[in-house]
Amino acid sequence: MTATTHDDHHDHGPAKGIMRWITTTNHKDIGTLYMITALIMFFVGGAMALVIRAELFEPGMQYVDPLFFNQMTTLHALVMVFGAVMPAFAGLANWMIPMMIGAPDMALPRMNNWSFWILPFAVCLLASTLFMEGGAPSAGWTLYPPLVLQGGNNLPFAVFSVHLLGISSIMAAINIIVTVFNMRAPGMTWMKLPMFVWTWVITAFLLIAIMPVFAGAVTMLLTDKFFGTSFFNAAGGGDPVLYQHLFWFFGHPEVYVLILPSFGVVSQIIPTFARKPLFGYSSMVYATASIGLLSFIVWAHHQYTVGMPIQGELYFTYATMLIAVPTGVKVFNWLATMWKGAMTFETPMLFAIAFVVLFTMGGFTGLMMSISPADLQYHDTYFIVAHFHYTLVTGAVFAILAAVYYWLPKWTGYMYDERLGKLHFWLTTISVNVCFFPQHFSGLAGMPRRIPDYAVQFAEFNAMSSVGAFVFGFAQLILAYVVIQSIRGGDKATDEVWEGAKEHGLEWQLPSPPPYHTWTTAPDIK
Amino acid sequence: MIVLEADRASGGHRIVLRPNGSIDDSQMRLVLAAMALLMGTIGVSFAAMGLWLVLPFSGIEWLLLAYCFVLSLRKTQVQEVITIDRSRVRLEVGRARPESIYEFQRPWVRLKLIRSPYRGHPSRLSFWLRGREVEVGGFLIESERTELARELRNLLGNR
Repeated sequence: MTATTHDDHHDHGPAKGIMRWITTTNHKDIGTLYMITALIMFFVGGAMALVIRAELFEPGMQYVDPLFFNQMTTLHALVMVFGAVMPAFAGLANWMIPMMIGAPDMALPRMNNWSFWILPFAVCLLASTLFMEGGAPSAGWTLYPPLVLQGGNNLPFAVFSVHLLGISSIMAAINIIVTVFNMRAPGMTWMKLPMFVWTWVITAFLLIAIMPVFAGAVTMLLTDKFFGTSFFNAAGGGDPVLYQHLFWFFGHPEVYVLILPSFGVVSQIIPTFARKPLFGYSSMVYATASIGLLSFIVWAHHQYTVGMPIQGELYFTYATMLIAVPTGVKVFNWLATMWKGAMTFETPMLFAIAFVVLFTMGGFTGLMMSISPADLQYHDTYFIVAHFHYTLVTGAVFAILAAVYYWLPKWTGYMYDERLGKLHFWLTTISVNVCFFPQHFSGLAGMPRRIPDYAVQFAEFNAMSSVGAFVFGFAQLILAYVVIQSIRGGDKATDEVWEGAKEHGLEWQLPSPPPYHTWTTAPDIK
Repeated sequence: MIVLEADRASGGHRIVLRPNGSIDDSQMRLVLAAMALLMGTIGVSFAAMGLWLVLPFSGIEWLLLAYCFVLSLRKTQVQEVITIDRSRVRLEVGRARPESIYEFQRPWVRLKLIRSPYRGHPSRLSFWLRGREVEVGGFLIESERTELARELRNLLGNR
């Protein structure tokens, strides 16, 4: 008789063909699926942005009607937030967290498969509303009532799609929490965790806490529309402002869900290329946790104009300003890490430095908006559009790009083309500023957001923005080319990939590319 | 994790093996209680304002979190107990109680440690007797398995 007390399938590689990807429970495969989906959605959402910018290139109505324009602004936001940025970070988490903590896989591999495969169906369902009578939702990504209730047949589909996207995110978040809590290698104590893992754990807790609020909010929209309830219907005794409170109680922490893992990525990259340990590791951990906690208590700064008691405005102003403190700790720690470091400027480091500079600019405009009397001027103008694109594009998207260049040689086993990487960086960084920087001025001059036409006084700034947007959009094709090229071959990457990287994480101790199953026996952590 | 206990009365030895798990039941309960408090506070606050539909979603989500934690912890609560006395070697595998029991005659049992030819892949330690093979400590990390093999060789007389 031969008996074994655990499975002996360690040496099996991946299955062959399409079924490998449909049935896979391997964290690397699922990470790859997330990343590819995110890239496709990045181009889909980007194409929608280009429709918007083409229409806004000059005053007057050119290419699309106002309803379709509003559908584009709504879908662009939903696709970018839920279809591109969040899945990209879920992909990075899937690929990297088990390798970084010395675990053989995610704690719940089958649920991991489910949490990915729900995603493409949810996004397709959302996109399908474009072909329905009345078109896609057009009330903005906030889905504010009563406007959103006055659309065509899209509401139940959009709500169901949002539910599915939420379920996918929740399952990914739970998996990450359970993995990090229970599957750390012996010796991998909490204060030895890489910053990327720390930021993801805090993000996962945030996600779990806020998702029920959003799920409840959109379900109440549905019952108001189809089941005669009056949660947000003033005529029935409800209050549409309550929806805004619900939405932003979810929406503001959601912004941190997008940005905290970015902080983690940058905290991995800067020490590697500065050839120094991260300055103030513990303060980085506490700052991340503080940002997470503060994100729960500042939501109404999105609603200063709805009419709020002065005490409320004061509270939300001060509470919002407080976020600058832990964020400042992070920025100064990154600068201190670079200070007197033996720095080199490969593509991931360039994107990380651009992140620090440009995200800080987005942070400063956020600070301006936190002041309630001033916000009455900025509210619903292009100044807001400029602010959140500085935090989400030069923040979250730049961090994702940095992460892709940083870990791509580890994933594929081949170095990417550094020359093309740098070209991609410079085109992206220049064009993103050409696109979004003028929007500060048009916003301060009073140009409202979510409009397809505008006064001629804003023509120059809008023309600049549109040129920047198109260059930015097409520059991303370089990224797709670099990734495909690196998958197909090139110079062989070493295990360490970057000089001295072994000191900055367990993943660099594995071969490049890592075998299908890694850490089948846990590493010894010193 | 390896725990070695000597039984002076019978002159035997007992080795308890457990896989790596980075939290225990009490820590899990603490995390779940904290999340119940946070999610419950949010859900109940909105319910008090008439927005009661948040609460069921919070409840479902918390239950899923708890279920996933329990599922993951169960995997790390497996233990193997090796009891060696004068005449036999007994291996019990289970969680709270033995679910499988294997017995070998001590004079004849052999110990096999096979190193994997692949980098980063685990070695395999097993008891072997007349074509019957039972793997032991498959969930241990490499250094622990090597230590276990050394300990068992000592106890069994360098076999």
